[in-house]
Amino acid sequence: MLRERYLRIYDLHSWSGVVLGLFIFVVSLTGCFALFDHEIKTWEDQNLRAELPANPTPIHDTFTAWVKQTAGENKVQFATMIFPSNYEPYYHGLLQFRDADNARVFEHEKWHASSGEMLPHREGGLSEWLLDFHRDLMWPESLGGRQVGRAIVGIAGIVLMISILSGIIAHTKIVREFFTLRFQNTIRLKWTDTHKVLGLWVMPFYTMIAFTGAFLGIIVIMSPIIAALSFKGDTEALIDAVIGPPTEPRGVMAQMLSIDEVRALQNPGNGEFPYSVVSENWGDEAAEYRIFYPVQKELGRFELRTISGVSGELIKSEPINELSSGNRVSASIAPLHYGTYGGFWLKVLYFILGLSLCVVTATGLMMWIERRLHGKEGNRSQQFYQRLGKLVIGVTLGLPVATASIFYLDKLYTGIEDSRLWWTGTSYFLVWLACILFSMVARIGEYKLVKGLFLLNALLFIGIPVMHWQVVPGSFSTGTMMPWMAVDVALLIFGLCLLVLAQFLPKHRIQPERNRPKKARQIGDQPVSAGGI
Amino acid sequence: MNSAIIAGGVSLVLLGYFTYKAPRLTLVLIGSFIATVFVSAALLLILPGEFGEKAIWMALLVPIIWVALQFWCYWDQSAKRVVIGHVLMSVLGGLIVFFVEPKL
Repeated sequence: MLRERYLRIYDLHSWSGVVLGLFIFVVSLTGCFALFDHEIKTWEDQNLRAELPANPTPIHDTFTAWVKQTAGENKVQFATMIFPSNYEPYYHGLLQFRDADNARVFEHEKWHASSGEMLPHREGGLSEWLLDFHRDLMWPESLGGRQVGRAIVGIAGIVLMISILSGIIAHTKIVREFFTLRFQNTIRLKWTDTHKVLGLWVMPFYTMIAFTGAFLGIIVIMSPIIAALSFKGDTEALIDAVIGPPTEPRGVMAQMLSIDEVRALQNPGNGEFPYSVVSENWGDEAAEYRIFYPVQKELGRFELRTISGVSGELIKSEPINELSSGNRVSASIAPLHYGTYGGFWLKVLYFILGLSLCVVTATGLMMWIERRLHGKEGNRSQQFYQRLGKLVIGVTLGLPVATASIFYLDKLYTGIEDSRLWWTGTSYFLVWLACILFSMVARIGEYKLVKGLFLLNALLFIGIPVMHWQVVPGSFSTGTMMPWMAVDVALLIFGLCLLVLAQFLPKHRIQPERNRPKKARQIGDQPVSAGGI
Repeated sequence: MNSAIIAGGVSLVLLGYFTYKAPRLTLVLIGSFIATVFVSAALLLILPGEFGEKAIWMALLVPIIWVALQFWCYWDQSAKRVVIGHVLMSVLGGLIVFFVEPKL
């Protein structure tokens, strides 16, 4: 390759990583925890913990009464019922309607699967924060709302894609780098090799996660722009063209088909029972039930069947195998990104691979700083690069501290239920900020700081299950492994891994062999070999 | 309306100035995004096939087109060629979007 081109591509790889590396780190680390959204939901709220009954109690009357009472005379846009499952062993109703001021109102409620009793109301907190901070950064309405946040996260996917592509081109000795891991050598080589080896071996996963993340993120902002251009601003015409016009209500009241009957409707294609049902035009003669069935082996989330909400007559069936190729590919994007197609252990694998992306990003950043702090590159002062290094340490190792802290907050929170999410977010940012400030002002070396923060993280994560057992006695009383127990076990293992890792971290920078005093090399040190694995 | 035209004009002038000063960087940050939007919208209008299916494929292609254009900004030896390519793509896409009506 031409040297000029090589340098340009290398520059692209460097600056895209340096400028937005921390952002990619934040998105990937938050994504690791967002994977376990379903498990954490039952971990945070013990009212949701129950064995899934073989025959859940009928819910239609309760649900209908709730819809009537909540929406009143307002026009219901949709009413959804999520049926009890292993992950969520309770009924979960969702409702959206427009109030007298035509403002959109969203409500939801949960009912016990065996008794049908309404479960105590608990506002979103830990799981909502972990998932939504990854999805849309909890972007405030005053700055454009969640869609803007989602697009910004999508841009992280674009940056990651460009970093991967430029990284491949920039590394000219790619085959050798696949197998070179020199852990016995200088710190810079150690980081360089870790960065390259992880980056190369796990590249297919990173590419997949970058593309799916970019698609899920930027689609929300690109689609309206492209629609505005190709349909001259008529977004409704575009929606009609892509998914068909919505069924209009006839204005004639009608008795809805029982949701309990819908729950018993097996999918003739794969024998599965419904996961959820979405009702449109609730209470109208033109009401429709869109029934979502789980898929078995296919990469996709649901199979959809649409029936009349009054007579139960089949209107449309969309088996996953008969979807168009475009629909099939787009239906696989979300399961691929969130790892929902292979059970708990696949999520664990995603978690490990996601953490490796954090390591690749962090080592990339540290290499860049190291080259300037102890090498010939860069034209800023030593102090500047030292501060930058500490900022990177604070951001990267402060984020898991902040994440652990909201697990504690969730169990120890005693304030008003409506403020739970606010306090979760505030604590998250305060703890993170405290870690960054501590890293910046503490008069200790970078290596000691990293070791200390690793230890802190380890202790915090190990402490979460301990605190959980103290606050909610009997969490482990059932014989089988339940989702909330898996959270405790996973956090405990994660904490122990961090503890072991912290033991191997040096307290100070290991001098390169050539810079050490000759005497020291003669007396004690073993010669350093630059072998590969 | 007038303020929108003025804002558009000022943005174009600024974009032109930044492209003149740092062509590759400006194109990778802004130009590639604009070209992606126009090219995607134009392809959606002129490619044959069922509209809904085309729209889904275009949505899937958008990240790839965007990254490909960004990469081209740094790959090509001539910065001038990259600038001309991006401008041409955006203008051509814009013309198609302006003149072609969507076929449903």
